[in-house]
Amino acid sequence: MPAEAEPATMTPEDELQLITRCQQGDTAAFNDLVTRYRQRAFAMIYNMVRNEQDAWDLTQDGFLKAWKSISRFRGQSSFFTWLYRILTNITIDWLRKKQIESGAELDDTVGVKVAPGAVTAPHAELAPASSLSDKEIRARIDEAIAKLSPEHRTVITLREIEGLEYQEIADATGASLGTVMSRLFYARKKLQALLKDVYANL
Amino acid sequence: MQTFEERYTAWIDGRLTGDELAAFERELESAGRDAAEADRHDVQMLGNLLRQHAAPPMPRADAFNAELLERMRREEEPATAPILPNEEPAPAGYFSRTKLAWAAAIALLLALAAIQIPRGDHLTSANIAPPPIGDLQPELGEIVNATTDDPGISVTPIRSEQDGITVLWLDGLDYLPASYQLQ
Repeated sequence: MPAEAEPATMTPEDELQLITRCQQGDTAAFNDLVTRYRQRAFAMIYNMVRNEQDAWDLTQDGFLKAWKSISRFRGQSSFFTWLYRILTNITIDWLRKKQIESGAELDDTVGVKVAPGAVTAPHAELAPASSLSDKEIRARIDEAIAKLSPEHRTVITLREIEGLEYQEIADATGASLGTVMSRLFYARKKLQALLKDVYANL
Repeated sequence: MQTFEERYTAWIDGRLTGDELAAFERELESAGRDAAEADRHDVQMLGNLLRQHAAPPMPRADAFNAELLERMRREEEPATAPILPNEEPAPAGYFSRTKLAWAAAIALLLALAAIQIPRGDHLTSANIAPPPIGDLQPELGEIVNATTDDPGISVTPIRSEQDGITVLWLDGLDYLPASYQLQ
């Protein structure tokens, strides 16, 4: 997982104690948990929605939902895995809603078609991307991610950026292990096709 | 049995081991091992690109907690609003009856100000002759001179000489515009 600014002094026991206090309604304890995880939560959502303000608002919504549901947290997974699930659900719902409102099609056959079982990525019509600025590269990534379905954005973000294992992604998304691996296959192929000129010229 | 896509993903990520790995690599020989190796390299470069251009630091991080705690407080407010011990709840029905009475009175008065009265042939109480307009108070004089294009709206003036009052009975108004609120 990416390194984030987290209080280094917090042990798993400290965290468990905080969660117990949260379950008793202690908002100060929840405040500490939020401080610990807000940057990771924001980053995860940002990587899916590619917009700072939307990511900020959705992170707020995610923590608010976590606060309302924390009495149901049983400690069977880590707190952040549990939080991941809330955050991914909220973000996927938001992306779907936005997709419906805009009338845009975000299904995975749009733009680049990936043949089942294809080893190589399909070629998209792209201009050579030599000497792109950071801003231009970010814009290209935003554009490519926008062409993925919410589910594909989720697996790519959780695997490639957050570094989660397949099972952790399955736990966070509620999908089966096979579905996670299959989605990852197609999401990667699509992004390879859309961004090959970018990463090949770096 | 895993699909090709699932096994390929596991191979890309180095999650295949032992017999599974050997079997899959034999399978890859026929599909083009070199192409698969190049693809694995591509996926690594893609991952690097995404990580290098991942999320920026959270903006306004210092305001995040305060705003969240405020939202939490607002969300909990209705459920935990204290009830003062001396404060008795309004009797059931009392408030609604009062509201209804006021609504009826205001509706009538507002209607008087707003309604456009149809001409004399709409007056159903024909046996009660309305007083000459000049004898009415100015407000009523204005009302009875108004007209309406809506055939669904009617007004019935009922005059009681004994009590010295005139009641205008209105029918057909669904609502009164807010701009006609009683001052």
